Amino acid sequence: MIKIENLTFVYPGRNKATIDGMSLELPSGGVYGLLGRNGVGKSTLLYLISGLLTPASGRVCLDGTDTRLRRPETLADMFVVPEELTLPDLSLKAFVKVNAPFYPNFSHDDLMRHLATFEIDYAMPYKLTSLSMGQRKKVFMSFALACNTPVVLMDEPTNGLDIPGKLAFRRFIASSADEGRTIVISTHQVRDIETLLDHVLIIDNERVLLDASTAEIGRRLAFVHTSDPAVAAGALYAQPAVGGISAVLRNDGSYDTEINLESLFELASQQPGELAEIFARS
Amino acid sequence: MNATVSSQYFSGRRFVAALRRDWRMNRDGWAVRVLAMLGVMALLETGLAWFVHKVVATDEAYSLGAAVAERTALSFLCLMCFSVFLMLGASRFHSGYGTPGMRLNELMNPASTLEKFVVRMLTCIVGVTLATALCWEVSDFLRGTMMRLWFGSASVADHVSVIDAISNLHLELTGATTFTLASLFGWQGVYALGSCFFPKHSFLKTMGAVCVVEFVYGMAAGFSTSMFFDPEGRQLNEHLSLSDFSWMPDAVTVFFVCLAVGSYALCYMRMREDEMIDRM
Repeated sequence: MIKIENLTFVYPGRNKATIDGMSLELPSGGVYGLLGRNGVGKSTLLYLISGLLTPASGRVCLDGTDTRLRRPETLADMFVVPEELTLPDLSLKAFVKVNAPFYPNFSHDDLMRHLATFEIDYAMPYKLTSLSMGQRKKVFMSFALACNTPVVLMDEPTNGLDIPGKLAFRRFIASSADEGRTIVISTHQVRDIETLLDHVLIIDNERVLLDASTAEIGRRLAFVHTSDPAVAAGALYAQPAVGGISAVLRNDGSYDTEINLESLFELASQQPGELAEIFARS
Repeated sequence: MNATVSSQYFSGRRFVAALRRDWRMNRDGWAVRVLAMLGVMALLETGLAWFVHKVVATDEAYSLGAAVAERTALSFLCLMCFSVFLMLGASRFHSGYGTPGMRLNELMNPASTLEKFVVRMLTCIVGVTLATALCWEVSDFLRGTMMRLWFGSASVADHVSVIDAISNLHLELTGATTFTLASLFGWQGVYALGSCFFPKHSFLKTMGAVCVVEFVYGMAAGFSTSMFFDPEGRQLNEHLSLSDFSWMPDAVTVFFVCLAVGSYALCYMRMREDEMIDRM
């Protein structure tokens, strides 16, 4: 389990904290979507979770160990896929050969399976530095999940992927998610991950606006597409959409709808108090 | 728990994996640097020997004076090459941390900071020292071969090793070899430390910082010496004889060993505190 305790982080030279007193628990297993506006500290939070940044106060623990200590055991339990990758001037084979020994649960079969999903040839003759941004991401994500670490942190994983790549990414995550593995995906490309998530986290600088499973969200909220202005008027949130209005309603138990992450995000941003009140009720 | 991650601070298997990873990722770059080093050494050494023959020995028989001049010049060149190339190597101590992406790769690599530190010591300090010595030996062999071809076998200075070079330049000082080696080791530590604080152009920036520190120290030392020893305009050598400085080589050796140990300790601390952002 990842436990974030009263975490505060300030970038050097800035007066305002990027993350201010955040506390959060991410139980093991499942795909978490981490959403927030630009600059609220999503990437910073991922780096803090992985121990790549030192908080001003508070700490992040992975199964009870402070991740900032960067102990080899902790590092072998998590993998970070950053938004912008720097890969060494090696072939894929050589890259795997020198990095895989650090991960006790690395599976060559899983690597082959993931590469096949992305239609990448393991024996490609050229070096990783000659690949396009999207291909590099596919290779790195395949390796990340083949390491079978209990925690995988992904920052904007679909940036740079083409349309088939995004489809493959959804298959890839769906086939890799299991009960023991926690995958945290930070993204603005909500459509790319909408159907994958088990849990949604929406943050701003000071608060966690929403921390709920998709099942919980489905029980408490309904996401409807309507042309009836009366429905829209009574909605928690409504916005014009093609052919009508996209609205978020309180779910009285009569709806079974798919989550619209864009609408949910706007609702959380504009009416955080009301959303908190809805999710506070048992 | 897997044996690979059995120890928090040092595991033999993990260390070997880290060493193999570092070597494989930097192998091509090191190969190019070693070849460049060999080329520069061979060119300078052969050129210098040729120059000494032409200017000092002229067209007469290879005299004792010319031989001494050649050996002295080669010894000086040898120490110059060692000083520069060892510092250039040490300046790469922290080279894997230059950009955020590189830092992420290094920091997230599941090896302990101690293992990563020792790997860097082995490659940038020990490895570069051995490679420099090997390059000197090869370039000295090339120099001998070329000189024999040009001037005949009687007019070639003997092989000059690093230890020969040091003793050639410090004939009168007891302990000079030890303190010269200690100073090289000490300065390597300083340049390694410099690479931890200057990710780009580390060698030049560290050299600049060292020059500033030495300039300030020189000014302060000169000023305090003149105040203390020369109130009436007398020279320093009127107060002291050379024998008063017999303790100097040992003191300098101790100083440089302490400088090296301190610098590497700071390097290790810096590596442990490294983050995705630069707080300097």
